[in-house]
Amino acid sequence: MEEKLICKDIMKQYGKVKVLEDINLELEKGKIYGLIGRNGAGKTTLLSILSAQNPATAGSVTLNGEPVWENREALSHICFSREINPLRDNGGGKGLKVKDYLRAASIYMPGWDAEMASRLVEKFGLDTRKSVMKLSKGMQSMITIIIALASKADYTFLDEPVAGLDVVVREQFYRILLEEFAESGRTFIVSTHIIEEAADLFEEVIIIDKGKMLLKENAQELVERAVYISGREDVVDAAVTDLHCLHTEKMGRSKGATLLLEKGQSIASSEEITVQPVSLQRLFVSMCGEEN
Amino acid sequence: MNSIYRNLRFWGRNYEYMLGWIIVVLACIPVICGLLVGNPGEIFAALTDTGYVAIYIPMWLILIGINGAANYFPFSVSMGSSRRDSFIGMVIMIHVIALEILLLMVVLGSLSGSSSPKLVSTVAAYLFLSLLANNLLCAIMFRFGRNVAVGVYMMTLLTVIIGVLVYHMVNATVGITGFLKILEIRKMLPLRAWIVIGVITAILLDAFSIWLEWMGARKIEVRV
Repeated sequence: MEEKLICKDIMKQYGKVKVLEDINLELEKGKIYGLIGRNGAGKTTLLSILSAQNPATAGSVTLNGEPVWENREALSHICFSREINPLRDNGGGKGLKVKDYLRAASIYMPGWDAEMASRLVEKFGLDTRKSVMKLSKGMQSMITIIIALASKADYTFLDEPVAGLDVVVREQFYRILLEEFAESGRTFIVSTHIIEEAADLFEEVIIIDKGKMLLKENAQELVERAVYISGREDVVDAAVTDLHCLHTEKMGRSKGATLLLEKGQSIASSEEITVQPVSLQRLFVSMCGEEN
Repeated sequence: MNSIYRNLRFWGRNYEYMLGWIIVVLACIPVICGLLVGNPGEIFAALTDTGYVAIYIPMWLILIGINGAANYFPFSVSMGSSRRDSFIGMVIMIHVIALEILLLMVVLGSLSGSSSPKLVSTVAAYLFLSLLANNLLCAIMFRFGRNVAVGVYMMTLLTVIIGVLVYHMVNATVGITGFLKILEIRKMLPLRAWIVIGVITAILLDAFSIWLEWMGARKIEVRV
């Protein structure tokens, strides 16, 4: 049986509010996925369901054909390193020191690499005697990263791992993640808001908006399909007919449009239309921005 | 089984840490009070007095139990444990803590010269009631939230304290006539039979309260 984490028809509801709906995903081994969405889109909820930390209202999550929920064997292959938020009143190790956090991880995670954890603690300059609550946001993110990387879990989910990190540490993290991926072939799912920096990491991108999955696609192919055309308004309007237009903007008598072409489709620059490539971040904003 | 062992390590470590602090405080009380007001030996004896035991044993056990459940249960699930295994570890270790408190009381009783089968059975009874209360409060907490559980705990504590004080006052002044009726019921069966009935009832009630607690714990949302 092919090793996959499969999520089928996932729906999550709190009271009458649906926070996730019709989520169908297949996560293969040995890839880095980017999970992108606006605040409140449902990224953390999805990751918590995939890792069986929270129950779905409907649907199923299986790993290698076996349900993940309350399955010791499956859970031993999954690590969800959450964004630490000591202000939440649902436990979460409030009052624990960094060393207690890491000790708990070493107890629970079967593949825990203590040497790697020590190395990363030293690299990031973390004081393990400090209480997690008293750390800066960036340092709390470092704990998230250390737990995720040292867990050596086959499927590792990182929720906003770079929140609060300065650009130097972010670059370090991306490099360490790629090195670990190259060495171990683990599957990583990284949810992030800093899309532009992380875009080069992702082999596949999953975009979620308002609880629904908009797409899951190879990152490179997705970016190749996205174009931005600009020119005179009437010319642009004619050009975008029958094409999937994500976003338009008027600039006087000119108009710009972000398009997501189908595979095989193309649109060429001409005297009247300028065609430019679109970054992943720009594509995401076009898909999920308020004006669309 | 490996996962349960991991949970026993985690819960054991955290519960023992909390108990350790309580023991430190307990050890300091006679020293400080002895220095301030008199003989530390008297304080030891006071600590094993039935009235005081009725107040502070539930406080200890419930403080440890409910804090553990509120803080560490979601945390252990967020670290990748199944709810079932984390719950098993939590329940086993709180019972171990209860036994350790019983042992501590026996030691204190020996130090103060008040150790007796009556003390041991009284402490065991209070420990059982405290475990029951802990399980029920944790069930309430998992279902309705920490604030509701704390509110119920405070109200119960207040009721127990008032009840104990009233008992002592009434007993000291007019005597407890109801006690005589309890003695009459006691005569219906031999003491050993009452002990067996008591132990079986305790086990059944403990099991039921654990089941109630699990009903709440199995579906809590982890929002760490």
